Amino acid sequence: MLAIAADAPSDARRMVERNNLNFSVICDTEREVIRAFGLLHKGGALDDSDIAIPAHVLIDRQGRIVWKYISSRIQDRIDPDDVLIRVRESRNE
Amino acid sequence: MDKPPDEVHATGSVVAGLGLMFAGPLAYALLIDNPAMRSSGAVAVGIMAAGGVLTLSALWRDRRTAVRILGAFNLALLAAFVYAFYIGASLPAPSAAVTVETAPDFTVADHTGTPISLREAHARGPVLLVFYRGHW
Repeated sequence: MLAIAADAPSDARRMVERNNLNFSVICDTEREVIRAFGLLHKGGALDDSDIAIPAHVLIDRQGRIVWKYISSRIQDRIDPDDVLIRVRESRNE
Repeated sequence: MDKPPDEVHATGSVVAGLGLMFAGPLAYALLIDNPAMRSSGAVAVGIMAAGGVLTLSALWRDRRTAVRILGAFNLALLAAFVYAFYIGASLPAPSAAVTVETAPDFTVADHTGTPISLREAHARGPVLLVFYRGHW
């Protein structure tokens, strides 16, 4: 699992330490990955900077997108249990 | 026999309605770790809708100005919450790129400065890429 946002490395480090995260948090400060996946929310942050639309994208060993969930509202998040079901399915394929 | 409208007092209903308008968002904050509640806001809106019904019944029975003002305030809170939650918080639709079948490759540093290559990562096994809005 890889997390990704437009955060600066210092902010991401603080978040990782505070929450004891054991996965990589990619710092897409240039928004290149966010843009490449079509997930740019222009002026979405409180300070009006561009950030990512919250989304889960599952990629198989061949690099194909096999499943995704893109939030339609700021509060909208998929249930982690549903994500785990998809991840287990992709591992068995 | 029914009292004429100007003698009926429904202060309790309209004040209870106000309480429910605040109880709704409070319940939302308390239940935010539940994904379904966080996404739908069902509990908050349900509580506030009950407040709306109480308020409307008070406005119907009690025609005094103070009750009308507080009732209008209650309904404005309900409308503001529903608007902010369902319309104000809308996110833009993703652009076409995410509909592609093959994930665009990238190599970008993570929080420790280590370069992360998507191609190398998915070669080791399926990758769940989680885009989030930012730290807080």
